[in-house]
Amino acid sequence: MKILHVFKRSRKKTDGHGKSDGYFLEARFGEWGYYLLGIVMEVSMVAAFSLAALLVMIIVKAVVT
Amino acid sequence: MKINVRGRRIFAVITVAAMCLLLQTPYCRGTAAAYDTNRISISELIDEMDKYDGMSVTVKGEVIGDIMIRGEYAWITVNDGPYSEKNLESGAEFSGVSNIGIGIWIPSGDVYSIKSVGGYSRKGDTVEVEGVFHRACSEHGGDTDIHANSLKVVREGYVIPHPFSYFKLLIAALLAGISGLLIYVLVKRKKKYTEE
Amino acid sequence: MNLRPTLNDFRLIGWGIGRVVLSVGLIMAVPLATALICGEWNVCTDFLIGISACLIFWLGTEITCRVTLDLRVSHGLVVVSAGWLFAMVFGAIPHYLSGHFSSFLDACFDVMSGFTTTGLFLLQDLDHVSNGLNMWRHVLTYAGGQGIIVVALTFLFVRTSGALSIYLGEGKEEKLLPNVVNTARAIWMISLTYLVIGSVFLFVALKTCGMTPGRSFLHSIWLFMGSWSTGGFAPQSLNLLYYHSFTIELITMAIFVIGSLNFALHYSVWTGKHSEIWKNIEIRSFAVTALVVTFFVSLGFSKLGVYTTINEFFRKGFYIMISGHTTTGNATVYSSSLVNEFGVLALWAIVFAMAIGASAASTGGGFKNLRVGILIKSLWLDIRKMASPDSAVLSEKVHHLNDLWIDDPLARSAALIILCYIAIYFMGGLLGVAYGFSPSVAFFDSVSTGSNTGLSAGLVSPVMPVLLKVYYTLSMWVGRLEFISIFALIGMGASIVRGRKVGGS
Repeated sequence: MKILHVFKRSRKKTDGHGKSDGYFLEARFGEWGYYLLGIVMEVSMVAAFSLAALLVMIIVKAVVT
Repeated sequence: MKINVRGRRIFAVITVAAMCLLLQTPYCRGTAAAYDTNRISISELIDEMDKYDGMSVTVKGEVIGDIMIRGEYAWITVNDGPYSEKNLESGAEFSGVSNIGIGIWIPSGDVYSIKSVGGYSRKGDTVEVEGVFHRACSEHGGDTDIHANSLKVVREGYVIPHPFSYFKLLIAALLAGISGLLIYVLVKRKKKYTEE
Repeated sequence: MNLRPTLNDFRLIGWGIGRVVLSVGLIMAVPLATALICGEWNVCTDFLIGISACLIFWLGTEITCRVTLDLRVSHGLVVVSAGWLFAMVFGAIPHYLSGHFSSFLDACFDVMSGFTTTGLFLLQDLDHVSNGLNMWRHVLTYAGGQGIIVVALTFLFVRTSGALSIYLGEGKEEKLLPNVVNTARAIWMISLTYLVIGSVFLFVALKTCGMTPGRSFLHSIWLFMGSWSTGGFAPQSLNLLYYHSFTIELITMAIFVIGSLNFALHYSVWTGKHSEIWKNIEIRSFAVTALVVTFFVSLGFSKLGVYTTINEFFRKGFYIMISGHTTTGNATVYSSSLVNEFGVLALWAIVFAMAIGASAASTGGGFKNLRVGILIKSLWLDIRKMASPDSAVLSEKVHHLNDLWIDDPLARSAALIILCYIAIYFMGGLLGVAYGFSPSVAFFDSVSTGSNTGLSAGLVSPVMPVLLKVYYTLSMWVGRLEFISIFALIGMGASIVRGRKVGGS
């Protein structure tokens, strides 16, 4: 039943930086909140980037037409 | 030196083969069947959008996928082209083209006459739609669409029969049998190795 | 000196390929389950045949290729490149049996397009395709996005110390975690988390668009898989134009931009290095090139005057541009519109964006932002050196998770791979022109296949010449694996013919 145990590797002791293989793959409930924060960061990057592109489009359109 | 001669020969053979392939029949674009003269085929609309932009057109084809009601209006998708006449699931011949369809923006009240939408299990109703063609519709963010004035169901759709293929099942069973046999061989071998 | 491979080398490679093919069989369980639930019995048998074929191949390799050696790097690379070809052939079985392909070559083209996250298809009558087959198209592109090897690593290579070599062969140079198998699992964890979140958002959006719950559910998963893996497949032939929804376009756009990020970057951001998302060279390089291309697309649009409002600029111009730059290939316009409605300037700007492509070690293709970033920085360094006195010591660095100092070997390897990409783009373009297509269309589609994008200006179709089908299939494969493992395969072929026998004189 290896497939079921994909994300259930035994929790290893963390290294000096507080991270180890088990740390990431075996997130507890609280740690998921941490990951969601990462997701929010990534989405906000996309939003900021789209706004920048929108600005470029508005300027080019205003100048050319 | 031997290798050089061989290398050159191989190169020559490959070059000749490539040339032969290149000289094959030239590419011809799959043309959708031309329907009767007062109607426009969707592929013609798509290829010459600037010519038909803002004009009133009539298209005829199969309603496909979903009827997406958005308040007072709804989106439907109509396909014409060979597969709207007879699709592959009903045993059509290959025509070499993809589906050719267009989104139709239509008053929600009109879509209730559509009883069947096309998909794997159903052939959609064939409808005739009259409306205004937009190359880049400003109301819909630049989508290419037709704003319908009228819709008429000209042929009703039906359930596409999918008779079960026992031949395929037989092949599947045969292959499963072979893999069962191989598993047996493998397990036996493993045992032998571990005993050794 | 080249050594001729021994029987044991072949066995070892065969063993690896068997595992890769088995993982293709494993993935087929998903569409099989879909077909079962939807009651599509003929489709079930197609997948049963496919799964059995994969099983038989794997068992065959297990029985005949038993060796006690471990994989070396050269083996690993050949396992990857040859394994992808085998995966294509076995993956094409359900495709071909579905009766929607006029030849097995077409089915192979579609599977390669799926696994390499390209998104072009030769499948005919897509709008009448079963749910099972649609699930297979999208699952294979989702699996291909993470990498077939990553799939194999997750389940099938647990106790192999040679796993690193096959991981590296699949165009992924970075590890997330010290252990390769755990890296593969972390990649899956990131992808599956996004699968859940993305599909929920898409489901709600599709439902409010007026689709039935069942169809919304299936479409949300398919659209997610197509976007996340930067594949560009969609369940209907009109692709994203089918939905006529700005919300869905926005959600898919967010998904494929995030999907095009480096998995190592995801890991870094998720584990707390939030500033990495603004500092990373790949993000910066991507932002600069994408904004430059946006400038040219807007310029083209403004001059041509087909699309007039900012809304249209964004939903057509920006969406297609970003879809091309992330090598996704989701489209909100018809193929012919890329030529007729976009105009030459916007079209070539998008070709440029596709050529650059997404981030390294991501689901995307193309040159990769990392290489472009390194190249631009090293160019800048050279310019600075020219302008400075001889005695000045100058240096440049790029920030990618850590600071990397630019030196000649780094710049050289980036430039070499970019040159290889340009070569496959160019050869494909010339081939298209030789067949009588206009240069714009020929180069657009050639770059689209080589960079695993999947937008088409109208060249790719089931009636295109056989040679082009074969070239494009190879071009997708070569582009996805980033050349090195292909070179290893060619090298092995050469050493079979010309190599010296081991032990001989």
